[in-house]
Amino acid sequence: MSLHLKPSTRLLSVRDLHVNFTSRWPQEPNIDVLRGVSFQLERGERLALVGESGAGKSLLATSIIQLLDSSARIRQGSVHFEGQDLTQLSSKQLRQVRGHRIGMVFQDPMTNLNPNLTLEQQLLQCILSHRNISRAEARLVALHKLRQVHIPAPETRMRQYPHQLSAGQLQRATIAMALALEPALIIADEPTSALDVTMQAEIISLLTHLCHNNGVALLLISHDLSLVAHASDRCLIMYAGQIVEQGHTKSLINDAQHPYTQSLIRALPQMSEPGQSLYQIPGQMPFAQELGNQCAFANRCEHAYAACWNQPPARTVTLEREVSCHLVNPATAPTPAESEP
Amino acid sequence: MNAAKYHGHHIWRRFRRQQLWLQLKANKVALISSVILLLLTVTALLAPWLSPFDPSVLQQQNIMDAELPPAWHEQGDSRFLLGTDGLGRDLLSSLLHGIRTSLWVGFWAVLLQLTLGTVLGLCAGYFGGWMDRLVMRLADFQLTFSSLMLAILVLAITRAAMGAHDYHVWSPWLLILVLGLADWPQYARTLRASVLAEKHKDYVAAAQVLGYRSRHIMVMQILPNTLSPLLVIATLQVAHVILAEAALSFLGIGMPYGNPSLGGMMGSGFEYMLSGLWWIALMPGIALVLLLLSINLVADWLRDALDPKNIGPQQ
Amino acid sequence: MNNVASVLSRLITSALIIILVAMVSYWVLGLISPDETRNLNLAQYLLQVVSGDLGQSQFYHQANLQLVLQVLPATFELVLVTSLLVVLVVIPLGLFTAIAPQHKLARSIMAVSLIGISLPVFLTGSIMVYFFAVELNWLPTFGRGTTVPIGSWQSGLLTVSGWQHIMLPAATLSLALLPLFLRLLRAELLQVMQSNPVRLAQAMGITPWRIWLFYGLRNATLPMITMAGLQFGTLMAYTIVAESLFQWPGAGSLFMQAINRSDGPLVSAHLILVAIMFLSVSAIADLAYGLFNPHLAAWRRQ
Repeated sequence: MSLHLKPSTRLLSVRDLHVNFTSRWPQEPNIDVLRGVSFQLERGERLALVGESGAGKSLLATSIIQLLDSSARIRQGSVHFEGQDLTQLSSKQLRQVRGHRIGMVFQDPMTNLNPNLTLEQQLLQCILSHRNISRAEARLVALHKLRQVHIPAPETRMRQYPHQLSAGQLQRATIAMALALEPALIIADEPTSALDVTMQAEIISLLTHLCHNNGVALLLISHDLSLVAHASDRCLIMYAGQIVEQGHTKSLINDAQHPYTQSLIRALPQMSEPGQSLYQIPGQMPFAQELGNQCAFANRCEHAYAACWNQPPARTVTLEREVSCHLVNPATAPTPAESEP
Repeated sequence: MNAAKYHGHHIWRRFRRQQLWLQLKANKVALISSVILLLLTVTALLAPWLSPFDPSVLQQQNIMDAELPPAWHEQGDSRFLLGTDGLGRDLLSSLLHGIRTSLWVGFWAVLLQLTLGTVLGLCAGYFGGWMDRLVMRLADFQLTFSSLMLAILVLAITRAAMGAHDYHVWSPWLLILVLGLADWPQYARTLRASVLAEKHKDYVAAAQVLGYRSRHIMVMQILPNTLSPLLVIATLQVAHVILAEAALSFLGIGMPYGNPSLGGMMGSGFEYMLSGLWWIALMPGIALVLLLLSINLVADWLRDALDPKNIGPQQ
Repeated sequence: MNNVASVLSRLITSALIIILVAMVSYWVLGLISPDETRNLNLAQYLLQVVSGDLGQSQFYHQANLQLVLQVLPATFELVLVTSLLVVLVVIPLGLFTAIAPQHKLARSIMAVSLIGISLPVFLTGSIMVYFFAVELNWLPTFGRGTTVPIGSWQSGLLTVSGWQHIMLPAATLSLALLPLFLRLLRAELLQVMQSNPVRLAQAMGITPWRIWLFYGLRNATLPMITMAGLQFGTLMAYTIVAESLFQWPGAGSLFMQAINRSDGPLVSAHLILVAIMFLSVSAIADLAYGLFNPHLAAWRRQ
């Protein structure tokens, strides 16, 4: 699979997306939080989006389905999905896409499901909002989906309220809801972060298998690189509102080119010897307001040199990889003197 | 010691900040209502000198002048700008005195409420324990019954016990007392919440370590930081008390007939309205609404202006 | 088993409260009509109350309990129709102002509601009387109209005249309560729309009306019930004023008459009955709360 996808298999194409928040005070300018995000996704592909908290991953997810907060705006860019630019659609048209063509799985099922409604009611509402079928038929569809996510005794479980189920079961149920209408894409935003470690691998595995078996594309968002390493074909690394590196997951992990990606990999517990202290990336990711005309990672990067502080890096695109770093860019590569540590 | 005092006085500076005045000027509604309110207050305070007639002086009343409509009506008399009531008294003068009464009752009753509520709230929040529980229980009880209902019950029973004549001798003071005692829970609750939040802050610990007495800490350190919500509540309560006084006077258990009251005027003017003489009951009503509305609007604006979330971007 | 224990404890607390109120009532009786308590001590009074004898009115020379029970239907029906009016108006208006908060009409409704808070009950009542009765002569201004007995309950809701008479008082009372509930409903609905479950529902493409109904209104019900409970005292106060204004022959009017005549026994009887009424309403509110609670408690925590 090459990075430049044929139009026929391209499912989702995000181009130069800029999202800002409107400041409360008229004197303060609106700061971009997502700064020029571009990537593509083809049918059935599994794409991981990795970054630390605050990088903008969840914002990107909600921007794709146009469900932004009232104070957030898409300033620039486009989101093409199945031939339509979602940023130009009316709310009625968007409603037909959401849930039907794109399914969402959010982080914590306990706080995202309506505690007043049984699972059955929520599933049925979702199905009946898009399909003109009878309640009984919808119920059958719901039961089928619940079985697919391996919820035991779905007939009884369906009639229960969210607070009566465990987090793991609830998350399975939300996955069932996302898959209920057989969408072309599922966006899963940190689907296992609210679950115990023991459940995490199971849920990720369930999600990836279901998507694979049904030909559904998956955009898997996580802060944990190790979790998505085996669950994705390609990977996007996000930092301070931009994608700093993207490529095939295996080769990205084996041969990371952006210093941030390298640090992320070094920081994985699996990468340390027992008894050794874990590696931590020094410093903190800057806030949107603090970013100047420079590389956002410069203040934490081991290899930073003159160019890094003078201008933001351009994207270097090869067949297998896209990297935004001066080191890799032949035009702004460091001189031998600057390469000295 | 200096740090603790500095923090305590910080809040006084906040009041005088530019922001408040700028915001008042920007908000047209609040500005107009403040102006109206100011006008009403001033005219009311000067009522004895401003009003063309004195409603309590019988010699100025002529029964032949009774039931005259407002001056702009064809049967009106230019001497009586807003008309006269059933006894020939000038409505404008009665209105001015009535507003004066309302503001007077409002001021004193709210002062009483504020003091009582502040003391109880501070003690409940700072000392905690059984005092806290007792105060909160009492507050719950009063809130269930609503201040108006309690006032009606207490004043009605007092009236029934004293008989109409004696009651009217005491009623202005009773009114202030009852209305003042009935609505303290709001202040107490808010203050208690603020105190509980502030109690654990560093400047309080500093003051305690330095050996300041509890009373000093409560009043000089914590109280100044909790004043904004109290101010908003007090303003709203003035409107609430004025409304309560009007309702009680309307029912006949409020201000006595000698003291002009907007509510009382509406009560006695009601029957005239049924014969078409609307101004006797509705003029005081309009005055009352103007008064209440301007107070409520100013209070609303005050609440928004003093909300910490709205105090501009921090430099 | 838990339920039985709590019901029992509630009954016992209520009984204690009633006895306490009866003691206060005895004291009030002594204050207003000292003659009555000359030959009656506290213990005897309490025994009478417990056995259902609330004394005899000095003015009417009839049993107080009977007197109050006779006028209670009038007050009850007034409160009932008022509540109905409030619910019928607040839900559509609340939904509208929350769905389209920037709409001109929505903004004017909110502005009017702000004015509404400053309008006293007796002023709206007077204005309504003036316009509808004096000027337009559409509706009557006092009394209940023709009533029809249902058993021992004299109801005004079964006749056209009865409804004509109840319209103005009920409309006045509901106008006094409307602004508060409207603002509450609107605030709750707007807040719910920012919550996580609504975000998920929107991501699932659930139709807006379903979201407003099952997420919005459902979640707003509990705070509305709480507010209704808190406002009960105010409602009682306003009802007394309205009954006085419209000469509505209810418990409020009877109370004010007793006050004006210094009829001690009747006043004390009223106190006890008011306490009983408060306790019942409080119990009903808690019941309603409990019905909605298990699920909504979880929601409120988010």
